[in-house]
This record gives sequence, structure tokens and C-alpha cells, in this order.
Amino acid sequence: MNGMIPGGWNFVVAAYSLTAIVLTIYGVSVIVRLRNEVRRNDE
Amino acid sequence: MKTLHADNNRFPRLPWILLVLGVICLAIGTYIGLFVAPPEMLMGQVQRIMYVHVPTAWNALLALTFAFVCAVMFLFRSDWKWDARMEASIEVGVVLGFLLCCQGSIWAKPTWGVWWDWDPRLTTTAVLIFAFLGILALRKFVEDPVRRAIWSAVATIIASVDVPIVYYSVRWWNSLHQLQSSPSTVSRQFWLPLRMNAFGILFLMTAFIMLRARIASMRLKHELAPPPGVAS
Repeated sequence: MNGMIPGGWNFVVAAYSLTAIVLTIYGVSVIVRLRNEVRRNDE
Repeated sequence: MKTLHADNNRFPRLPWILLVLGVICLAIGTYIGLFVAPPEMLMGQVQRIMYVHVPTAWNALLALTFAFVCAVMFLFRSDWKWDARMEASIEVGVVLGFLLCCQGSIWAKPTWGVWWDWDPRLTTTAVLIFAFLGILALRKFVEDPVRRAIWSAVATIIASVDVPIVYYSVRWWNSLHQLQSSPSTVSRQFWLPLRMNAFGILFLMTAFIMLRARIASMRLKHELAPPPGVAS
């Protein structure tokens, strides 16, 4: 025992994965909405 | 009211360049944060969450501060481009705020023993996110663009009062949350991943706001256009 929290990699992986998922989904949603809006404007 | 300023599309390539730069910075920062930087003395491996949590916090507050600036600019200048930018920055700020709370929750479980605590920092952050979420809801329900813009600008200014409260909450009250992390409060070995990810999320946030403002501008242009058959 040295006072350091043991393990914890599962929490680290969860936080990084969640960050990647949220930023990717939001980025894709922005690009899709932009394309739809550009198409609507062109019509 | 002034006309739309070229659909908030003055630098058409810039957001795409920022997107690529953001992904590169985040990839490098994540690699260093996960595999190169040493574990922290007390929190061990769990501290690596700081490299995404802290940059997300900085950029969420930055996006919502920019929303405040846009709201003030709209009320003073009555220029629609600021309304579009306000909508964009609120949405991006809320997404980053939601992500911030989830990351914080994941970090809190192994360090505090709970997923959530009604501590001043967490409570003020939750209030901030729900306040801005309410403004986005308000924008959905008000059909008249002029009323929508004015009401949401005023609401944004009021909600923005919580931004400095969130930032200083750990100093003003006895909080379970640690004090703000910055390169001056963390060890030198932790600087690089922290800075790389901060720039990565900053670039992504800026790109998202620019693209989302373009969407809002195009929608506004559609709404403000005279109905077909009305000669201009």
C-alpha cells in the first residue's frame, strides 16, 4: 500500500472512448445538417 | 436588422482545416497522455482522465463565454450573423458541457467513491448546462425570428452569469472538487498532453461553431426570405 489508487484503466478507457464517441457523433451530425441545408438552399 | 453576412461563410476552408488540426492534436495528446506520461503519485492511472476532462472544461466555458459575446453583439448591432453564432456556440457549449459532466462522473467514481455529488462545482455546472439547454429549447419553440433572437440573447446574458461562478466555485466554497488545473498547478511532465488536447478540442470547438453558424445562417436566410410571389 502506498496511497495510490490501484488499477483504474477501465475508467480511463471509458472516459477517452466516451470523448471520442461524443465528438465524432456531434461532428458527423453538424456535417450532415450542413449538407442538408446547402442542398435545401440550392433548390 | 442588417442582412446576413455571407452566411457566416467568410472563410469557407478554415473550419475543415481546424477539424483536421484538432483531430491530429487530439491523437498526439491522447497517445502521450495514455502511454508516455507517468501515472500521478496519488491517483495513479485514473489521473490520465485529466488530459481530456480539463481541456473539455476550458473549451465548454470558452464556447459559452463566446455565446455571451454574440448575445451582446446582437443586441447592440442587430446583425443576424451574431444570432447565428450565438445559437452555434450555445449548442457546442452544451455538448461539451454534457461531455464534461460524463468525464467528471467517470473520474469521480474511483477517486471520490461516487458518480455524482451535489458539490458547488458540479451543481453550478449542471445549472449552467440546463440553463443553456433551456435557451436552445426556447429557440425551437419561438417561430418569429426577431423575438427568438432578442429573447434568447437576453436569456444568454442572464445564463452567462453562471460561467464565472462555475470557474471560481472551487475557490469561493469548500468544494470536494480540486482547484482549477493549469500548467502552473500540475507537474511539468503532464503539460504536453494537457496542452495538446486543449488545442485539439479548441480547434474542434472553433470548427464546430463555424460550421454550425453556417447552418443557422442558412436557416435564417430561408426564414427571412419573402414568400414566393412577393416581388422584391
